[in-house]
Amino acid sequence: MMNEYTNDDHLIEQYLFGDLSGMALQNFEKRMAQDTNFAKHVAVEKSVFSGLEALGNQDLKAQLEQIHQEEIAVQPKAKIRRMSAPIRWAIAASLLIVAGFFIWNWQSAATPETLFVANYESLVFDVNRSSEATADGQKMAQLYQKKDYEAFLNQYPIYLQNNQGIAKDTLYLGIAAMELNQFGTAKIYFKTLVEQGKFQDDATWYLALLSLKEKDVEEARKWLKNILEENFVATPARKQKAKVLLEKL
Amino acid sequence: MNQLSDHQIVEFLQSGNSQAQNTAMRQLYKDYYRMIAKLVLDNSGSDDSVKEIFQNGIIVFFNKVKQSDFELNSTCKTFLYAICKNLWLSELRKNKRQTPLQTQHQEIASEENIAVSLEVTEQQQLLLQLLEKTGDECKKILLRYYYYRLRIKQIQEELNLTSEQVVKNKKGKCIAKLRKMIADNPGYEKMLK
Repeated sequence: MMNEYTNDDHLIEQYLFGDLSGMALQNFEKRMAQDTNFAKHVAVEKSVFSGLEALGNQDLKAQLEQIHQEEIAVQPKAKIRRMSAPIRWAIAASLLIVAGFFIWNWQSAATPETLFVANYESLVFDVNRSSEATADGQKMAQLYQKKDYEAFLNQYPIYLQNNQGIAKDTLYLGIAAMELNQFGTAKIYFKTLVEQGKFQDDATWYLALLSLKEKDVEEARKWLKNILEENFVATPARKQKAKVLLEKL
Repeated sequence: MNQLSDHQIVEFLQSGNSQAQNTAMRQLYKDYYRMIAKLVLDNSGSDDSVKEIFQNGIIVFFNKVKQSDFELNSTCKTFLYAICKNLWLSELRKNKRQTPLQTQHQEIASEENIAVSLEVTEQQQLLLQLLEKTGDECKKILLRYYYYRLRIKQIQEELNLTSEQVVKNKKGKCIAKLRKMIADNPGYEKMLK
């Protein structure tokens, strides 16, 4: 247990990140109550998380100190006035360069790539899907949850030989392809769903994000506008997200 | 870039992208530092305590936003103000100065009741020592993955590693190393209980 990263490690990590819910969470808590070794394993991981939080707080503080120096702390004017003209010019030039750098940085935060990163979230695997009840289905679910997208994509055709696929699988396949930067493949999966009228909400959203990833802002706008159409069925949260993103483009 | 909305600030902090996180924190800093300065200075604080409280406030804010079930039920301004107010109250209590706070934003002051302690526990102290021993690279990887929740791809790019798989392998080894140190540490077992 101490030397390798196991499925339990992954599960505990999900638990500590707060990513488990529903039955998965109940099963986890039940196991903790019944299995002393597992409970101890969780306790160790919990303390590791807590240590990393303390270290992270220190690290973030150092970053904030830098922001403080750049945004809040100011040099006394009197000192600048006493400096000679060439030094003043040199300082002015440096400040311009620094300001230019930050403006560039600031603007670059709004690039399609940054907007993609800020909006993209991998789809959480729906543990209640019926096909997961089979051993093969569980295996597929595990691959996806472990973010082994390559294996997930490769195994899926084999899985279909003995199991009935469901429409939502197409969404997971699209996500897996996206995660592997196989954008053309991902697009095919998502467009198939849109054409079939299944999971259009998610599929259209991911198509918009894919377009951002490919720096095709016009295409992204088109998909977002689709989501915002009155007769397009989507959750209010999704519509709001689409509206916010469209405003930024 | 335009001013980020509250919703965008939260999204940027949750994005798993360090540049977006830095942009959001910078905006919080620019927008609300002076508001918190007024709160602290009006209530017997110094310039140094303003900085301390504000920075700790951003840290608590970030830690809350990272939680999977986080929902912003007010504005970022309200949320940050409430966090900083609680931090300052707790500081005053520590110094046995129990004065009711004078606040400009009474409506904000009564809105949130947020746990804000950033004190490092004995257990965390020990973990910090062990983390130091894992080496710089391990610390960088673990912090980026577990604390900042950066994506593997971004960690690979930031640390100039050859592939995402290398990041995953190194992360696994670092955690295993840390776990072994914990198991080997005689004082640790008791602290888990």
